[in-house]
Amino acid sequence: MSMNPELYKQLLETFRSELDEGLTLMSNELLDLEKNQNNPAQRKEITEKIFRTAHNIKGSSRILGLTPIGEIAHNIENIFHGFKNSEALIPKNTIDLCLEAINKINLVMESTISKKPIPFDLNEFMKKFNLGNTENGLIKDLSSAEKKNLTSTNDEKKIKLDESIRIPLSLVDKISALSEEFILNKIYFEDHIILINKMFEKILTLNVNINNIIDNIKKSNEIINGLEYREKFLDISDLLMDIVPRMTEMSRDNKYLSVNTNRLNRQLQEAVYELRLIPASALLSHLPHTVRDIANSLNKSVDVEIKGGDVSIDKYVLSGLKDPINHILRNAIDHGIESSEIRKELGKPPAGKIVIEVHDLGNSINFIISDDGAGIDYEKIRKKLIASNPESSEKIKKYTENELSSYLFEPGFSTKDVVTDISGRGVGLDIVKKSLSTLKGIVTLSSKMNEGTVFSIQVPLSLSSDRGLIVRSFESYFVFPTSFIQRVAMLKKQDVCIVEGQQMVIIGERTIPLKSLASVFKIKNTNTIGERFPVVVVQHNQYAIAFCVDEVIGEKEIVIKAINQPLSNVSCIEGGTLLERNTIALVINPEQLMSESIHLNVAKLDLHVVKQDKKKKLLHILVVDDSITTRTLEKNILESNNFKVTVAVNGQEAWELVNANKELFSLIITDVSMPVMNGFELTEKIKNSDKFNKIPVIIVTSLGSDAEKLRGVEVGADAYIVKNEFESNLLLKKIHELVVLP
Amino acid sequence: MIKILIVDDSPTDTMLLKNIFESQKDMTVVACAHNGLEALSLIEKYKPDLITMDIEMPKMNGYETTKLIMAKFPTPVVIISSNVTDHESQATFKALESGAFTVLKKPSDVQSKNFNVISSYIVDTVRSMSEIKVIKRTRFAKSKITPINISPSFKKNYKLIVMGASVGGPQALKNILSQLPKDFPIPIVIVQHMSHGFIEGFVKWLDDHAALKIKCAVDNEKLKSGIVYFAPDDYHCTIQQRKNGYYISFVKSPAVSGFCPSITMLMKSAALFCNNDVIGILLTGMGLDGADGMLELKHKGAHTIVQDEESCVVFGMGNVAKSFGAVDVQVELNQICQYLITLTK
Repeated sequence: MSMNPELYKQLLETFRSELDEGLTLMSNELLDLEKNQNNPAQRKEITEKIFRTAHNIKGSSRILGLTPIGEIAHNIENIFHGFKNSEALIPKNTIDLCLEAINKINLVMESTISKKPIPFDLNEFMKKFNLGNTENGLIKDLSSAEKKNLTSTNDEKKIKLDESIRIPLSLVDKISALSEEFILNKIYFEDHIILINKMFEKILTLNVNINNIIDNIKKSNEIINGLEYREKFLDISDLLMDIVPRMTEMSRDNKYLSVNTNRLNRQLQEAVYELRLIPASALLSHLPHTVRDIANSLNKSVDVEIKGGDVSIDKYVLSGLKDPINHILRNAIDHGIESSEIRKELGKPPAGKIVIEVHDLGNSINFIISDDGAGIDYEKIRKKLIASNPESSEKIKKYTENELSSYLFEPGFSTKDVVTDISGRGVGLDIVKKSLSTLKGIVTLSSKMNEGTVFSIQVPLSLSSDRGLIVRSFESYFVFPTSFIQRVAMLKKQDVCIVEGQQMVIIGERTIPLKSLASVFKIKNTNTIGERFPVVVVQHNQYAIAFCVDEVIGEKEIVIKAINQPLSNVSCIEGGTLLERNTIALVINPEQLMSESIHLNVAKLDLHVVKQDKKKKLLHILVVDDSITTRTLEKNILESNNFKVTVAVNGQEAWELVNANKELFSLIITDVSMPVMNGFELTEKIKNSDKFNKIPVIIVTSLGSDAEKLRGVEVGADAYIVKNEFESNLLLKKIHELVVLP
Repeated sequence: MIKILIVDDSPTDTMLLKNIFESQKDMTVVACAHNGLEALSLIEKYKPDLITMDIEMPKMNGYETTKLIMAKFPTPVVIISSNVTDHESQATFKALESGAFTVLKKPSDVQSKNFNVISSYIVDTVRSMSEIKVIKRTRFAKSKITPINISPSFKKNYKLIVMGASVGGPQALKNILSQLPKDFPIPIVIVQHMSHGFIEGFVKWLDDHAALKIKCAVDNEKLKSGIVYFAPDDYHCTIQQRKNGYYISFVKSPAVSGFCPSITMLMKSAALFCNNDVIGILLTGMGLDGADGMLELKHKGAHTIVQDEESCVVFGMGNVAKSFGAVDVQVELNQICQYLITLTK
C-alpha cells in the first residue's frame, strides 16, 4: 500500500519550500565561495553548508521518489564532501556546473509539479556533470586539480610546480604578523640604544662631578676627614672609569646589532612579502569567461585581450580586485559596448573589444580596462546632477570632465536609463570605489564619446607593511602613509593665495588647496601659521591637498595597530602606531581625510597672525647645583612643565653660561654651597651686572637659617626655597610669580 | 502513550516521520528539533520516551548529539539515516557506539507500494525500542577488568566462534572486536540484527577500528583464522563442514524469530558438526533469536557464553537462553575479549 495521496501532496508542498530555500542558499553560498575561497574559515563554513543542504535535498527528494533531483543533489553532495575535507581550491567550472545543476533541479521540480516531462536530457546532463568533475580530478585527485588550474592560467610562463609547496595563506599571514611584531621590537630596541647613550652621557657627567668634589676636598684640607672621603671618592671615580669603556663597547655593539637587525628585518619582510605574491593571471584568466557570459546574457559580442598577466601581486589584493574588475567589465559590456547593429552603423567592428592591461609600477600595480564602446556622455551626467541639485547648477555647469567622472563613483549614481540585470541599479561604481579603498586602491576613468572608456585601477603591491611620515600638529602626532604623499614642502606665508574663496598654495606648477590638519581633526579652531610652515601634499585620485602641520618629524616604517571600540569608527583614522617612548601616533586614512577635507569647509588658516607661535618658544631656565641628584630632579620637574633647561655644576660655570648664551635666560635657579663659586656669589654677580640683572634668581638651599635667607635677599635673590620644604609645586609657584608666561 | 522527539533539519523528513508516528494510536510526537542543540533543550523540557535522530545537521550532528544525550539525559535514540554506505555512515556508527540503539533507513519513495511495509517497520522498531530503559554508559566504561577465572572443563581445543547480537550489539561488538589481537587463532562468524542496508557500512567501520580482519561473509567462502565474518542482509548465514574445513553457506528461507539472517540459524548450523569445539556467544539484544541455537550448541558440547545482564543494553535474548538452560557462563562485556583470548590459547 502506498501513501495516502493527500499526505503526499502535503509532503510535496513542504519539500518544495525546503527545496526553494535550499537551492537559494546553495547558489548564494556558491557565489560567495568564488569570492571567499581563500579564507579557510569561511571556506569551511560555506562548503559545509552546501554539503549539508545538498545532502538534505537528496534525502528528502528520495523520500518523495523524486529520483532525478536526488541524483543531482547527490552529485553536489559528493563534490562538496570532497572539498569540505581538503584545502584544494574549487575550480571555477565546478562552481559553474553546480550552479547549472541547481537550475536543473529547479526545472525538474517545476515539471514534477506541472506533471510534465523534464525539459532536458537528464542522462546527458549527469554525464556532463560527472565528466566535468572528473576532468578536474575532483575528490580523488584534488592536488592535481589545483595544478591544472595553475598551469592553465600560466601558459606562457609555466611555474615549476615540483619545486614548490603549497602554504595556506593563513600561515603566511601569521609569519607576516610575526615579522611585524618584530619591527615593533626593533623600534623598542632602538629606543633602548638611545637611552643607553643618554645614561652613558650621564655617567660621564657624574664622573666630572666626582672629580670636582675630589679636587675640592683636596683644596679644603682643613676638613679632618677630608682625605678619607677623598679616598672613597677616588674609588667611585675608578669604578665609573671602569664602567665607561664597557658602556662604550656595549653602545658600539648595540649600534652594530641594530644595523644588523634592520638589515635582517628588511630581508625578512621582503621574503614574507614575496610569499604572498601570485601572478595576476590567476585572476585575469577567468575574465574572458566572465566577459563571454555577460556578453551572451546581453546578446552582445565582445572580444577580450589580456596583456601583462605575469605581473606578480599580493594574493589578498588580487582576490579583492575580482569584484571591482567584474563590476567594471559588466558596466563596460552593459553600458559601454553597443549592440552589433549600432556598431555597424557607427563604422566599428561588430564585436566590441575589451582590453585588460596590467602594469607594474614598482610599489603599485596598475590595471587598465578599456573598451571601445559608446563612452560616457558627460553632458548626461551634468544634466542629471543639475536635476538633482538645481541650487548648484551654476557650479555644475563649470565642472570638468574629470570632476563629472568622479560623480560616477558616488553612491546611488547611475546614468543607465533602463535598469538591467547586469548593472545600473544605482549600486554601481560606488561599490567599485568602496571595495578598492579597502585595498588602498584608487580608480579613475576617462572616456571619449563614441570611442570608449578607460578605467584605471591602481592598487598597492601589498597591504602588509607600510612606511609613514610622522607629523606633529599641536601636541598630537599623526602618520601619513607614505604612498599617498606627493611631496613635503616648507612654504612661506606669501605662497598662500585665495582662489574662489579658498586658500590655495602654489607648489611647483600646481595650485593646491591648503587645509590645516589641526582643523580637520578639530584640535584647535583658530589656526595661526608662522612665516614659514611645513605642508604635506596628499594626492588621491585627481585631487591633491596641502595639509599644514606644525612639524614634520620624519619618515619611518610603521606597524599599524587597529584601534578598538569605541574609537574604531573615528573618521579619517585608520589605526595607531607606536613611536619612540610609547608615544602614540594616529595613522591617517588619506582617502577619508581627503574627502572630509574637500567636503567640509574647515576653518581657514589665520594668516594675519604671522608671529611665531609663542607657546612654541619655551622659557629657558638655568639650573645651578653641584649635586647631581638635585640638579636632575629640578631639571626633570622643569622639563616636564615645558621649560627648556640648561644645567651648570657651580657658580663659575653658570656665570660663564649666562655670558655665553645668546639670549637671556628667563630664570636662574641656584644652590648655595657649591665649589668654585657659590650661589650667593653668583647671584651677586648677576644682580650687579647691567646686562643680566633683570634675570630672576631663585636660591634653593639646605641652609634654612634666617641669617642665610637674609644673605640671599642682600645679594638680590628674587626668591628663596629651602631644600627640606622643597617640592615641585612650590618651585613652580615661585617661577610663575617671577616670570611672565606667554 | 509513547512520547517521541524528532530531531531532523529537513522539514520534509520531519513531516513524514511525524505523520507516520501520529497515525499510531499509542504514539505522539511531542516536539521536533532542527538541530542537536535544540534537541537537548527540548529533551529536558518534554522528557520524551524515544528520540529519532538525523545524522547530518547544522551546529551539532547526530553523533555528537547522541553522545550528549547519553551522558545527560539517557533516552532511547534511534538513528534515522538516509545513507547506508557513504560518508554519513561513519557518524552513524559512531552514534551507535555512543549508545544509539539502532539505525533505521529513511524511507525512500513514499509512493511505492511497499511504503506501508517500511513505515510499519519503523513504527515497530520505535515501539519496541521505547520500552528499553537506558542506563548511563559510563557504568560500563568504568568497570575494571578483573582476572579471568575459567573453569578447566571449558578449556578445549576450539575451532570456531559463532556469535549473535541485536540491540546494543554494535557497541558491544566494537568493544570486543577492537580488542582482539590480529593473530586470534580461530574464525568468528557473527549475526548482528541491523536494518537493511547498513551492515556493510558497519562492517567496514568495525574493520577500520580492529586489528583483526572483519568482513561481510560471502557464500561458499572458506573460513580462515584471524578473520571475523558478518552475515550480510537477505540470507540466513550458515556454516557447513566440508572435507578441508568450514564454509559459509547462504540459505534463502523465511525469517526465523522475526529475523533474517537469524542467530539461531547460524548457531544451529554450527551445532550440526560441533564436537566440543565451538564457542557460542549471545550478546545484548531484544527478543528470543539465538536462544534455541544456544541450546542446540550446548547439547553438542559447545561452550556457551552470554553477555551478563549488567552490561547488556537489553538482557533479552541472553535471558531467554539462560531460562532454557543453554548458558555455561555469563561474562561482563569488558571481559569477553580477555575471556576469549584465554580460552583459545
